Amino acid sequence: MKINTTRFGEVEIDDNKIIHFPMGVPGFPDLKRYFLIDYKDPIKWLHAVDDPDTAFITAIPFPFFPDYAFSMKDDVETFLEIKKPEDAAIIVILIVADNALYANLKAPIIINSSTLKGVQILLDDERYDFRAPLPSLHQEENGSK
Amino acid sequence: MLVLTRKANQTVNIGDDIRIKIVEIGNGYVKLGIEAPRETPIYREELYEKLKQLNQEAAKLDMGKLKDFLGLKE
Repeated sequence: MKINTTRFGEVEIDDNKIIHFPMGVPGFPDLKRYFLIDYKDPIKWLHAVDDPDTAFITAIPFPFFPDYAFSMKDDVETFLEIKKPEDAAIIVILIVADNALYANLKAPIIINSSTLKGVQILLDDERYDFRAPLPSLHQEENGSK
Repeated sequence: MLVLTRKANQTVNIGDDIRIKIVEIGNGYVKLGIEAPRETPIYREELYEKLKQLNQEAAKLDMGKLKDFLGLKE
């Protein structure tokens, strides 16, 4: 299907890759269908199917935050119908503020990569902040080896 | 808004499947125990409001700023 977007113009997407957020995303309760656009690895846009303006810049958190871990509650697993751990894909929303990029580690998005059902959860974990400064990946690479 | 007075260890039922128990009353706080169906999201209001606000800001992200940050501007 073809989708109009304000940032990328008209985009052709595979209907089978539409991710369903049955509860919407907090702040956008009516937008329940999204798709991912690869941007600059590991960054992807999570774009609303039904609104050309609404898109989130997201990243897989682990390259930036190797220690990032949380336990998923049973209710989330049940809701997303996650049967095996590798079904759960995790991304976090990035925020630009004051010329720096931050990751919302407090509220990760979990997507069941088999059923393409997603939800944004709010972690009850004081280690993680809504605005965690995003470290540069290049420094990580140089520093670790 | 319905306002009820409860003591520690007392419970409020909301419908058939939500129970809120006053677990502890301390100095300036109460600790609640909540039993609800799995699909019912339960959040601290101020955190949920903050998340909504941040998502709304994030969704307005300007491409130019992002490209600057990622060094994509040639």
